[in-house]
Amino acid sequence: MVSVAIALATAAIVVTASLVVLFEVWNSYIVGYAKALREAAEYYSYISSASIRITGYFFTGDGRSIVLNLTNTGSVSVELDNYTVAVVKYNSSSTPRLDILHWGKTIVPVDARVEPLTLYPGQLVALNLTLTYIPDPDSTIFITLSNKLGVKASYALHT
Amino acid sequence: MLRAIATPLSEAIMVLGALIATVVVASAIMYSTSFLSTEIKEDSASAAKMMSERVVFIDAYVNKSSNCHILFFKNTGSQAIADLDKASLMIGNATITLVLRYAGYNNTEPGAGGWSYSDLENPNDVWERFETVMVIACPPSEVKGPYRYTLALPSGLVYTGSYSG
Repeated sequence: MVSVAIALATAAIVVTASLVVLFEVWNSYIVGYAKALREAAEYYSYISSASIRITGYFFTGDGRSIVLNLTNTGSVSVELDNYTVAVVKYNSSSTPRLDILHWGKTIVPVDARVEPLTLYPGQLVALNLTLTYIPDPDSTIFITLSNKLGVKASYALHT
Repeated sequence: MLRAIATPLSEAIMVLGALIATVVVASAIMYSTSFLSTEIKEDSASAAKMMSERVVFIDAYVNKSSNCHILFFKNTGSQAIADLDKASLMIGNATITLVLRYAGYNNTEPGAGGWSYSDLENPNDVWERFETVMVIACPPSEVKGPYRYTLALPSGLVYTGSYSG
């Protein structure tokens, strides 16, 4: 009787301890997965409501600078910071070229405030873009501007 | 005399047997628990990685003179992607798909059939969150547009899209 009691008690302790370990691991799995799932859902919810458009542009006197009007046409705010990038493709007959512009360096708001900027729905910001190359006369350049979350706007500009 | 010895002996044998049986059962349970824990942890890490990795294609440019395609992607997920060198990249169009070989980080001339990448905002060979990556992909033979890319990350996520260059 004593031996059976010892065996049962030991088995009960081992089974309980194993179940506790399994529960803890499973719990961390659920928590980690739920966190990742929530973040993904939040991102896709945000990105489906976010939209920016280039609503106007003009070249400045030196030909290497463009002032772009960027408008938040979505229903959520869009942040522009150091991870904002613009890809410029020069589609000229002579030498096709590529340019990469960065916030705070070659992309600067016209009011010259380079700190991160939050563009609220409906708000417009004028950006000054400094190109590496002077586009050919009567040619087209293609600009795609993206913020850190991949909210992007593309536009074809005629020189 | 014999009876006096036999009772404690049989009791001792039973206790020993019970202990051995308990140890065997306990070992089996603990092994299973450990195995299950490891499996759950690995699955959890893999699932969380897959859920938290997101990549957005920004734009692409085709340099027709060098037959190289330059693609830009953003890491819009919630963590860095440190193993982009183990990704697979394919370039093609509606009729052909060409698999490229990885030709090193920050390699501006990956050569025909190769691809390389460089991270732009904080160049350190880690594709950090929000960072832009420039991929230079040079198919081994000329591909006619409209082009298609397929980027398969080591986590198993596959991104595909088209561009005109």
